Amino acid sequence: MDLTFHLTNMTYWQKAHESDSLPQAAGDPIAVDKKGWPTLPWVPAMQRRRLSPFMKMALHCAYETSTAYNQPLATVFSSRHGDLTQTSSLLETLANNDPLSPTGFSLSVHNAVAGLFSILNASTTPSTTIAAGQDTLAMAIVDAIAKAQQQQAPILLVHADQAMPSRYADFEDERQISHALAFIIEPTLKANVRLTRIPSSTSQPTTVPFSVAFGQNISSAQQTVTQSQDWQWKYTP
Amino acid sequence: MSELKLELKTLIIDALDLEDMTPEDIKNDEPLFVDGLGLDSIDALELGLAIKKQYAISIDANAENTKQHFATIDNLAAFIESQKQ
Repeated sequence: MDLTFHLTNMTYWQKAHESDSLPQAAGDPIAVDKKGWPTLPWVPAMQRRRLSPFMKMALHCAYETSTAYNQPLATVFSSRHGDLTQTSSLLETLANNDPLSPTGFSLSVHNAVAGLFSILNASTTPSTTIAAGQDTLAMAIVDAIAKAQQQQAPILLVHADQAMPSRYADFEDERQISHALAFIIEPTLKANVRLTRIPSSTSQPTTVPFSVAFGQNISSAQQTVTQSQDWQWKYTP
Repeated sequence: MSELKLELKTLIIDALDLEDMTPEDIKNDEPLFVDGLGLDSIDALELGLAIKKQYAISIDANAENTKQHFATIDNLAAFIESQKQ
């Protein structure tokens, strides 16, 4: 698989000092660091209070990348695990036979961020949400390119994943860290990224996800050929 | 009674993540929903759950007067007092 596209307006956000404050340290399998997440001053306080760290990361990047555009953009949201911290908390509640939090439940679906972003922007543009294992971001790019080509309009792509609750540590096949990124795919401009699938034999539980390597690399804006997991890309800023 | 009202205000702030608020910001006779404090329908469900848990009382979501019980801190305190007896 070989994809070429024009990428612009990359926003990359990553949690600082996460290794010092991982939930595991507290002994609570689903506890999360309350500090150090994006503050979203543009979201009304009554709506902001319900946002989880996962949602804050995703909305921050979505906003920073799209704010320069005057028209609402069709969006592709991408997350391998979704708001797993929130989901874990709900499952924990169910396991204890306690009633579920209506607020938590209402925001627990995989496309909750897509819904919130469209409400906050009063936007009725189409939106999809993708999960595809280690290839999640790559498959979201496929979807975004297809939409951009078909509509001949810029597409906003937003990816977010959070460090996994320690309860799921046994299932980690890559080193998940809390990060989010957003960028625009422009169908009418000359391609500046070539993305190629090259199956990697070096993937370890310590390897960071493709989305982390891709976001860090593109936001550093240097021309490079980089490989992460099963994907290699050449970026020509 | 005023102790119960303070307790209810703290419960509302905690259960509904009203991070920037203190109990003094919530007036006893001010509407909790829409106007006044500005809570919405999801808050109503969340608050109902928190009150059920804390005071072990049952709330009938479909009862005509439930809406009235949740209108203000004054009403809520009176309702909880009446259910305890």
